[in-house]
Amino acid sequence: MGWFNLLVKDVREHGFAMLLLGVGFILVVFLALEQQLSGAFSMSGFEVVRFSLITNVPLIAFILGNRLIVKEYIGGTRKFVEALPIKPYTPLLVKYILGLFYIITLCVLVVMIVAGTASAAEDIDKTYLQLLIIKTAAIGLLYWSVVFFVSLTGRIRLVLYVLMGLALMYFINVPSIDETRFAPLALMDRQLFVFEREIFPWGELIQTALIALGFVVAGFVLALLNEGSIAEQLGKPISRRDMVAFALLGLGCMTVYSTLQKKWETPFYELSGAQVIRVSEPVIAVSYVEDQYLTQAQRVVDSLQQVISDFKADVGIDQLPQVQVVLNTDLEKTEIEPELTDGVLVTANFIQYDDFEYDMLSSIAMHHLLLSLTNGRWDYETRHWLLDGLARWWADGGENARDSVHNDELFALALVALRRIKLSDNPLHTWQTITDNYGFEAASAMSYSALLYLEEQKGTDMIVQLAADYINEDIGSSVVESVQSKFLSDAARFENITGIEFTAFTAQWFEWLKAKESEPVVAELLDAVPRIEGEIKSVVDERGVHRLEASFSKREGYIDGVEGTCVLRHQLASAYDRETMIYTIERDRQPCKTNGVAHTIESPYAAGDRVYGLLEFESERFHRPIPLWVGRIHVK
Amino acid sequence: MPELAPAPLTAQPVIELDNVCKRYGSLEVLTGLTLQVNRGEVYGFLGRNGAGKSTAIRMMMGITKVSSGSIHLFGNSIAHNFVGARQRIGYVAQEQHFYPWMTPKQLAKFVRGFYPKWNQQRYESLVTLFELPMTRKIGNFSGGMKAKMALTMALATQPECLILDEPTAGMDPVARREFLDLVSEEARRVDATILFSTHLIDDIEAIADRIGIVESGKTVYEGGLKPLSDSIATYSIVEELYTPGSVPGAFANGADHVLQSHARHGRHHIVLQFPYGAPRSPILDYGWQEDAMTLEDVFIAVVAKSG
Repeated sequence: MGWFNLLVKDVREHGFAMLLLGVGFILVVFLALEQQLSGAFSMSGFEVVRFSLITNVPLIAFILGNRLIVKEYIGGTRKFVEALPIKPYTPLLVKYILGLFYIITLCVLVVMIVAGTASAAEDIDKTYLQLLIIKTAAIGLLYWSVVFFVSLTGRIRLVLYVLMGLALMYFINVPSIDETRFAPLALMDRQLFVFEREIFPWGELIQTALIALGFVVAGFVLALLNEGSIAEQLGKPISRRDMVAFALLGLGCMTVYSTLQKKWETPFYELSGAQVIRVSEPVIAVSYVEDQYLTQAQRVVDSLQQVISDFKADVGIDQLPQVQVVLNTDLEKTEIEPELTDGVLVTANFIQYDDFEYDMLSSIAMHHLLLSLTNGRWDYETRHWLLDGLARWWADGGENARDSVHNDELFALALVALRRIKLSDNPLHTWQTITDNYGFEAASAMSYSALLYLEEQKGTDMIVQLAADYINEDIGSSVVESVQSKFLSDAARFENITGIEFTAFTAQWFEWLKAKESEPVVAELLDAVPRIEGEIKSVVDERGVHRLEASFSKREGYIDGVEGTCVLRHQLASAYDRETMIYTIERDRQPCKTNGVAHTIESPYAAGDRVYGLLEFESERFHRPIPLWVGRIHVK
Repeated sequence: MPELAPAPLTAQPVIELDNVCKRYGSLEVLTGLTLQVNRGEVYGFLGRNGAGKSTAIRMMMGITKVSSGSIHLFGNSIAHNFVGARQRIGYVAQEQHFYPWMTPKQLAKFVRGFYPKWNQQRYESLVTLFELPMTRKIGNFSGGMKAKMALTMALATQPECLILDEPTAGMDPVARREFLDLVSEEARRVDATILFSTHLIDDIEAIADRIGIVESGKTVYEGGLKPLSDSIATYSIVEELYTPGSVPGAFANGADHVLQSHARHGRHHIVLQFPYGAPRSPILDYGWQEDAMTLEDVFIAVVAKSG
């Protein structure tokens, strides 16, 4: 009964504050959700969960720790409790459990709130929700355990928090350490936290729990060591001398930080030098490194100038960010690396490009130009398809896109992906997954075809109107208006603008696209892609050597003798990698055989590594390799 | 050094400390404390501030661990089941650290879950007796009221033994008297075992059956008050008549110790200690006189010598 009385006492003492904190937290979550729509580079509502875990949850844990633990020591009421007939660890244990329950409840609550709000737009299944809840709860467990320990360090706790924060920042910023490979930061990976829908990171979860356990044990040891006299001494109110020391430490940290910040400041980025072609309307600069590549660079400038000028004229925008392209001959022809750095900066190896690839480069530049114009808001998963499609639409000539010579290849790319997509899931709702699994090119081609279908139904003006609506998006002049706009899903918005019900549109577009299969050139291209599916596995051979093995199996409609090569690529999963972005040059090229193992290579990875694997099909008929399988491999 | 008076043979010990030592690193707080508190007796635990009384009590309560020696409560080692022992003890600490936001009513609700023999009726009647406002926050109570609150709480647990650690420290004389009266009454009422720690000998003079004096972390006297006061006497003589090293009379040769010898206000005073039960002749040499001695004087003489 004693523990129950302690629990009731703590709830009675801190319950109101906990309630207020909880209500405040929920309000902040709703505000963050509201900001999500208008905020920069938002891709999913669940980013709010991650945001809360980085900001609000630790703050609440800190406040709760101060109330539940620090107050008891500073106020001396611990001495009253320690004389009661209970084990010395019981009061602390009760506090730990109460705090943990509270923090985890808040964590689960934020996931549920976001899920409830986001379910209007995003596909949220049970596994996805469970995954988010477990990851969030694990982080909550860690936060509370850290706060529990640090709270017991009394008047030096603030210094400890600062030191821990600095250590964490250092750890994150050291280039030689990939922090997302270590728990608990691995659970907070920017991409995986939000978009991982299937795989439970048990290893990282267990590691996080063990770290939390370490802090809890350290807390109890500190609290009980020397009959609690150490914690009692630390719990005494902060002295004037301590305050001066802390203030000096704080000033020192701020001075160091401001000095470093000045050092880190970079000047406005602008290409300069002899091998740069620059045009001022629109602002484009292309760096071509060596004089021999001037022709190709001029071709890039011409292509971009045409596309961006068409876009400006269509949408009626005067000012656009600068677009800069840098030639990097170390890259492969198929690799294009875009960034938003003082405008749009694209790095590519364009020296052997043909028309298709120049348009591909333009579409990627347009993609980032549109992102920059909308301050990243177009990244949001439920509208991302539109961004990809419009970028390609303008790159292929805008109102002339329907007659583009690349359409057959693009339709074929979209149809190859469509064969593998479960049509019960609306792909436009889970765009990130589509991009991850079938490649950017296929995703872009799919959305492009959707827009061509829309253009066919409603005319070119509708496409422009749709684009303008997102570019000139009214995010509300007040919080209320902004919240109201939050409840308008992208599907509903599409319907409002086009007058076509979104699900019906998707179904009709599928049918329209499928009908393209019978067009002779498209059919010929489709027949040039083997109907196979594959998978990569990590195995250990009889000599104990780790290997990566891939094998293929026939799918319906398999035709023998398709010309081309199957390629295995792999890369250690690390920060900011998207699954289809594998940068390693090594490729294992083999015939696409369906009997037995097609690829077998010695694995450079160790047990516990997480590896992105990719199986592609290369053919002279297509400009880009076609992904056959993309996935993660856990090396056992 | 006074002898330790043996406890009665038939006594049932409730609290037993045997050669208890407590060290914090190189600091020795207790260096060999031995005492025995028997069922039904009021035991005065005397010692100067810093003598180690509170440390000893915290060890009896199982809050602080023993470095060496042993403590038994109700016949069982404190190391084995201090939770069970605490449920049978009413403890009033030197300083009260109640939750300031609680009222006496809320305090009772909180505390009663810890004590199986909690008596709510007794608690309420004591709160009324002490004129403690049942619905006022304890944070607004004076020091005396808090001590009464602590005693009220301790008594409501219907303890078999009360341990009071300098409970009257900081109380005004009226509150102190009220408090002592209640302790005395309680001792008579239920034949309670009480260990009353204090450095104020007046507090226990009227109620203690036996006392233990602790100095520099060890027991320097344990026994009755009367044998102690009977064994110590103080004499004085005009300074001019005093011969260094002399004693008041031949009988003083039987004294164990000269506890003190000093000049004050033109007279020379010596304090002598006699063996327990030793006959003391009233015949004094010329010029000597026996001075009246309070129990406090006796206490001071004992601890001064030990120190």
